[in-house]
Amino acid sequence: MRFRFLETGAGTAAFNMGLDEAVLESVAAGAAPPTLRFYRWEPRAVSIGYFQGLEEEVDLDACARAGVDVVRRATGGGAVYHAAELTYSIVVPEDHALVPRDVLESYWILCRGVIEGLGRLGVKADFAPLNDVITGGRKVSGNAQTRKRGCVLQHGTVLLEVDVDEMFGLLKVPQEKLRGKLIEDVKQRVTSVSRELGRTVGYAESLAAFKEGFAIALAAELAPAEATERELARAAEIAADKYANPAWNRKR
Amino acid sequence: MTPPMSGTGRFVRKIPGGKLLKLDAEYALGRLARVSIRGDFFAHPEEAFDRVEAALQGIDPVDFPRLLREAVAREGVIIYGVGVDDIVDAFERASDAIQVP
Repeated sequence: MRFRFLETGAGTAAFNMGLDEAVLESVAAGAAPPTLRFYRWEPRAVSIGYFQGLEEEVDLDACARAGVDVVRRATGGGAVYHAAELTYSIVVPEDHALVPRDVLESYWILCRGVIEGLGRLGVKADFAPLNDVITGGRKVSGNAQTRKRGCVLQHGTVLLEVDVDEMFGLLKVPQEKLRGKLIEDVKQRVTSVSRELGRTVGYAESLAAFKEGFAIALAAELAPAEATERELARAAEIAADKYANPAWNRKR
Repeated sequence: MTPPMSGTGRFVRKIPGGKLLKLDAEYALGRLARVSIRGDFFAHPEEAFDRVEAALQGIDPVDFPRLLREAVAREGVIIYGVGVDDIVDAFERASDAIQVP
């Protein structure tokens, strides 16, 4: 099995989400093979799930002050602060042998790439349904999936470092008086690769480990490539029309 | 449940073993003028869930459970992390939360 492998470096939130969707379009059209992509966020960003309310989840003023991008994803799930992390996306036709029709099972299959990658770094992790990867009972990776045009798009993050206080400075909490307790609770439930290993693990180091991890989990040869001109142009279009558009970001 | 004439109610609940569900129900002249269903759940296809929600605007509130179930079936939506019964329950609690003068 052969996958195209893209490492597209740092992008804005709107561009990153636009390129995931552009890749889905080209795989759906048969113009590209199944694709694994790794990327980062510059500037840092908060993404919210498709069904979340923007203003009730995100402190937009705080994000603006901190120069943090805000974007609504095409996928469900919760709010994510994208800072020191590795983000991946994987696009596979729904009828591909790798992808079970059952959504829950397919999360497990695709998250094995994350688990194998963590294993290569020395972090033993497990899948925690519906969409998390955990180590020692703490979440280290969140993942989200959508199915469109006959393809599965799953993207997810691996926390390389985590600063819960910084994250909560950008998010709203349901009850302000419970903010302190909530932050302490999240600190207990979330961890990072660097915290687990007791040393700083950066993007470059993690890239090699997760590339190897996904290759093993997908039983695939990863063929390094660049996003095509067409994909980059579509990504810019989709970013402008959708992910940078207040009509999309404020739809809930 | 006795539907209120007007006002907006909200109910928020973390579904045990599931996701967070937030529901706003806005009434006007005894009808459900607007309902908003939000949270960190998943629904496939996402746009079909939007159509389910749209089908619930302006309805007689007593029809909410039936029309929700019919719309979910018609649109072929599969929801993960929140059940249809949870949404019905949240709707009833949001409606009950409205202060009737």
